[in-house]
Amino acid sequence: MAAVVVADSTRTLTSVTVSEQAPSQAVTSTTPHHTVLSESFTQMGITDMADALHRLPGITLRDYGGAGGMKTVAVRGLGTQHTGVSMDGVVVSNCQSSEVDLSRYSIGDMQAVSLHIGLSDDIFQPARQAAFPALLSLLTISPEIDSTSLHTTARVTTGSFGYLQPYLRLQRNFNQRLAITASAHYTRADNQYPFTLHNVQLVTHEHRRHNSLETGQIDLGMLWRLARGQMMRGKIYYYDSRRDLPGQVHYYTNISRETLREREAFAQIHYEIHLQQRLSIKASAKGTWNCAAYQDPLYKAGTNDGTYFQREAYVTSTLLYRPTPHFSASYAADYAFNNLNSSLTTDSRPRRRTLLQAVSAQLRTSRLLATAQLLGSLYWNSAKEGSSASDYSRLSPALSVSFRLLSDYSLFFRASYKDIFRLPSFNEYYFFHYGSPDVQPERTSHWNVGLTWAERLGRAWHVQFTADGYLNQVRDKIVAVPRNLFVWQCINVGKVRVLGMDMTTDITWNANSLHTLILHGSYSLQQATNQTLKESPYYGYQLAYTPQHIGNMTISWNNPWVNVSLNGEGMSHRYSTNEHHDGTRISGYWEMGCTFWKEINICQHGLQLRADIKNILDQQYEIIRHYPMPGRSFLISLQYNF
Amino acid sequence: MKKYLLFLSAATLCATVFTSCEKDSDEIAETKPLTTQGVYVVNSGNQWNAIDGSLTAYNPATSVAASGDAFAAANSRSLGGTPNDGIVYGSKMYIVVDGESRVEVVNANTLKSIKAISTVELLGENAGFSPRHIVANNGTIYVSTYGGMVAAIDTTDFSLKASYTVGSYPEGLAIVGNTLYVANSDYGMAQNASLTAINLASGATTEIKDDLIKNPSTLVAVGNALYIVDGDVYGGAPDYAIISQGGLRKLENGTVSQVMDGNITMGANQVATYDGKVYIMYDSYWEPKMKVIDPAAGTTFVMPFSIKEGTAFEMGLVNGLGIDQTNGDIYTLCYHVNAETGYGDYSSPGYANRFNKDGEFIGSFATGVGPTAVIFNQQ
Repeated sequence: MAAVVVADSTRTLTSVTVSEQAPSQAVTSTTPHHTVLSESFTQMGITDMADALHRLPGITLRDYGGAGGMKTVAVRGLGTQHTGVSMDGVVVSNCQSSEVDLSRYSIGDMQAVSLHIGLSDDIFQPARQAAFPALLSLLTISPEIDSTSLHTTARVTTGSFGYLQPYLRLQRNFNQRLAITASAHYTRADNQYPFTLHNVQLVTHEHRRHNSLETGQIDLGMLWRLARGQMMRGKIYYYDSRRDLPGQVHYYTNISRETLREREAFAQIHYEIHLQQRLSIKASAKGTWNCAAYQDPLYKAGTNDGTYFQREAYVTSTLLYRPTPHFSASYAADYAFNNLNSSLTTDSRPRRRTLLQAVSAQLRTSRLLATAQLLGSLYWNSAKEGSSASDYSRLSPALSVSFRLLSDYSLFFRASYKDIFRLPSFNEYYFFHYGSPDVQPERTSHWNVGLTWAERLGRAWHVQFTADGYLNQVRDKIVAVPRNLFVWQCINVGKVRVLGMDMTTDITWNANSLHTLILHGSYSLQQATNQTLKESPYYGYQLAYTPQHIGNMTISWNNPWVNVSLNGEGMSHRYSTNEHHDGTRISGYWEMGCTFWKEINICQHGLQLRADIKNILDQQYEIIRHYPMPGRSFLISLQYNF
Repeated sequence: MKKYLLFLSAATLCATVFTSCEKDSDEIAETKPLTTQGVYVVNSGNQWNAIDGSLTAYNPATSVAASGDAFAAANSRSLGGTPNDGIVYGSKMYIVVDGESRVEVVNANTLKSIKAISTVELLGENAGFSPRHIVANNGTIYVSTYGGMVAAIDTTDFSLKASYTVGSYPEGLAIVGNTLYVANSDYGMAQNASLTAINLASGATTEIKDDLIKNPSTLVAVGNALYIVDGDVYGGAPDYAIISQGGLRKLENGTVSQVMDGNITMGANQVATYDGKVYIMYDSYWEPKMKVIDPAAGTTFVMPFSIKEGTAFEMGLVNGLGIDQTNGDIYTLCYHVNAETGYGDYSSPGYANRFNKDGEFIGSFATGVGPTAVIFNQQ
């Protein structure tokens, strides 16, 4: 397995996937690492990114509702800016807000979605991956070079509230060494879903208005096996979306004219070479252009409008040396240049240069896996106009260990520590009457201990459990405070302690050759409390939008007729404010969905039919206050591979 | 068809008769001495954190505030997002709710809803969204909207009597003689701020621009003079230097003049009048203080807030001011200081301090989140 890791680290797909036979990475890794593979998407009733994220333990999804609603991820009680997102092994950067809106990614493009908390056991990866306490990795469908010259996948998905997504992917193979792919999809939705509005004792039935979405995406990919042990990948990508933003729900009006158009283009290239079994080198380069245009025509003279442009140039190179099968060491260096400009007159045109270097070492014996890493970060901040934030450097250590407790059983104990910090976003540094160049990075320490177990019991059963307890300490938390009602400022005041636990279970029962029952469940407990000031009335309060309990459960039955799965996910109550004001409590919820699917062969090619009922019980709930989620809805999908 | 028309005109006639009858009762009789039946605080909530607005009811005779939202208690529904201003006129109370684009009309004594006037239905979405402030005169309420309009609304049938196009992002309103003045705030951008003078007899509007008017918010009238609160305009971080120094200005006989210098934060209702004097809060978000300007005597003094033995009060951060016209009692609407940040606690319930006209502390009471305007129900 180690050899596979070396060969193509970003493509390594060992996971929690329930059908997995050998102990998966979820069990053997020194830090929590959970993956959902595309094969499981249907089985787990996953229809979009939000569904996939709900299945990963430790994640609190912030979902503004519907296909067009922004979706960001907070992991283990840390702010959403602490979650890094990587796509095909390259971290997606957003210097402006440090948050990545995951609603833009289509689950249909993904081969795997995984969450990694703390230090990774894969030391053959860029330094930037190490700069986050938690990393969400998205792996898009990669070409598989084979003898067939042309592969085509065509899919159409349609559903409630005017949802339609046609998708087409073509792959052309040349002489078993080179594959070229092209894929495109278009998505539209009205999203005018009904919801029930509770206004003290007045209950009214409303529809979400001004909530439509139109998105197009096209990408071209290339995989070239130049020679034995050498590989090159490339990708060109363009994304364009236009959304109407419905805003908060009001009791008596639904006026909104806000729109957001987002565009992104990038080109990336990756090269990898493996010299004998001892030395591997890989390098990537990526250039990204990103534009977000917000408009609110209701406000005259474009008062609130803004168009923001971000650019990034990024290069990374990693060297892995493996003198013996038991020991390996790596060095990674990443350089990035980012800048931001906008249509705002108050724009200071900030830019940032980043140099990250990571030195890692790993020891692997039959029962022990230990990884150590030192990340050196150098940031140079500047602004073309006005004052700029100061430069910053820091060394961040991380350590992790996993030990197989009994040599005959896949029972592991693991422990890890990671020290990490978060550089303020451009908004926190520079946004007029919000940011401040004086604000310092947020510092976080993360400790984790866990027990994992996976076993095959007899011929029919496979079980896997993981349980982790953790402690996060956040110091110098960045908080936006109002100097007065109109002028805000970011300062470092907060201290947060998060004590929590994540548990997962995966059980497979192969009743016979035709029938399989699969159960997947996870539960998280997180006590994320404000520890800023003992005298404060809010001391010890749970942070805003951080539920204490989160859980999900999926049961699927694979059979010769129509496969079916039932899934549920939910969380306990939260507050929309750190002060827990009366009117800001958001009730907990439990939402259920159901998926039916069947694969049939037509002309010797696979046709997959799938139908989903989401929110079967038509629960009315909110994740973000005053942003109601859709009730019961339907989705049908047809996919043909030829 | 004719029958239908007849019916319509009859209905209109009835409405007119009804209107003219009601109007008498709606105008305040000036002969009878008024007493303050109740003091109400409009709480704007906090839209950013999805906290609804509310209304706090306080009985000045017993010095007791009812707990919770008095509007919701009377009507079993919420005011909604960002109530911003309110008045009592005649027997009715009018609460301007910015985030809902409505003016809630309630019985001033029972708080029971009479009508909710949608400003977007009256003026259209572009002109009627975000109603901001309100004054009343002669059976009419005047409401400014961020759509750049002032709507004149009848207080008996709630129909639109007239609408006036004014300047950029109008806020406060005040009437001097037969002229309604509007502060066009320009959203604090200090580019295109002005005042609009509306002649209530002819309907003619005049825009007044002056170098002293950069960020006008609240207006009050004393005699023939209009007092204008002009907010400071701040530059960016880290020093937040003042780009345009605000202050209290006076418009009298067509001339704008300076009355008092800066550190007046724009927006909220931080100025009031009593007995021919202007009361204004300043340094409100740091160390709130109050100046009293007596135009007749030509004097200005800083209000010496004081306490009786055995009492204490927290000045807080002042977000609004109101003065009881029957006895001169001063009400300051405050945010607590957040112990963690040292800045205002904008997501928690605020409070109000009550002083007598000489500045001696009488008592305080809890309000909702974001107390912003005081309404006196005087009958």
